[in-house]
Amino acid sequence: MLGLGPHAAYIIVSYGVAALVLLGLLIWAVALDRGASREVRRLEERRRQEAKP
Amino acid sequence: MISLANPTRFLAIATAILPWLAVATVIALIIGLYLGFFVAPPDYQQGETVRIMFVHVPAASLALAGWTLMSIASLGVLVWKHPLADVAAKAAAPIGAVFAFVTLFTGALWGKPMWGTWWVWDARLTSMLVLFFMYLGVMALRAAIDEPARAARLVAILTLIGFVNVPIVKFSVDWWSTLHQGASILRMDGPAIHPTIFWPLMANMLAYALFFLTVHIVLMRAELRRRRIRSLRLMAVGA
Repeated sequence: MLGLGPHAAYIIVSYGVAALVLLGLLIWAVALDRGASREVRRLEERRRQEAKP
Repeated sequence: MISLANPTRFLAIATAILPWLAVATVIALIIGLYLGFFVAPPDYQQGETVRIMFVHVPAASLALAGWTLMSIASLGVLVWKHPLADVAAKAAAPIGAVFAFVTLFTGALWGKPMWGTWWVWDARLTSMLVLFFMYLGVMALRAAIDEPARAARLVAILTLIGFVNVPIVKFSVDWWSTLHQGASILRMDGPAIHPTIFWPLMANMLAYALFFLTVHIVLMRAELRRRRIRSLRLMAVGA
C-alpha cells in the first residue's frame, strides 16, 4: 500500500495519530490564547469605562 | 533572561516572533516529512517500517526535553524566583505529555511488526510510561491547588524530584538488558546511524523542536493573559 511495504498500516496510523494529536494540541493552545486575549480586552475596557468620571 | 523577566516585555517579544516561528515550523515539518518519506532509504532489516523512527525518536527526545525544561523552570521558581519560571513550567507540561503519548503510541505501532508485540515491561518502555504519568501527575496537582503560589512551589518540588526519571529513561538501554535498541545518536563513539537516515532524523528533530517552542510560547502567552484576567477580576471585586 502506497509503496510502504507490508506494514504500511502501522506507518500510516503512526503518522496519522501523531498528526491529529499534535494538531489538537496546537488548536487547543491557540483557542486558549485567543479566549484569554478577548477576556483581557473586555475587562480592561470595562475598567476604563468605570474609571471615567 | 533578565530582560524577559518583565511579563509585558515577554508578551511583546512573543507576539513579534510567533508568526516567524510558526512559518519556520511548517517549513521544517514539510522538509522533515519529505526527507523521511522520499529521501531516506528503507532499512535493510526493517524495510519501510523504519520510517516510524522519524516521528517516534523526535517525540521521545522532546518528551525528555520537556521535563528538563520544566526542571530548569522549577529551579527558577524555587531558587531565583524568576517571574516567568512558573509560567514556563505550566506551559511545558501539556506539550511534554503529548509528546510522551506520541512516543508510547508510535513505539507500540513500531514494536508490533518488528518485535511481534505491542508492549513489553522493559526498562525503556516502562520508564517512558512513568514519565507520561508524571506529566499527568503534575498537571493534576496544579489543578487541585487553588492558591497559585502554593501550587507553583509544590509542582516545582515534584518536578525536580521527578527529574531523576530523565536519565533513567535515557540510560535504561545501557543499564539494563532491554528489548528496546541501544543508543544510536548520543553515543561516546558518535552516531551509529548511516547519514542517509541520520540527516532526515535530524531534520525531523528540528521540526518537532520548533513545534514545541511555538506551542510553548503560545501557552505561556495564554497563561500570562489568564493571570492578568485574575488580577483584573480581583481589582474589580476590591473596588
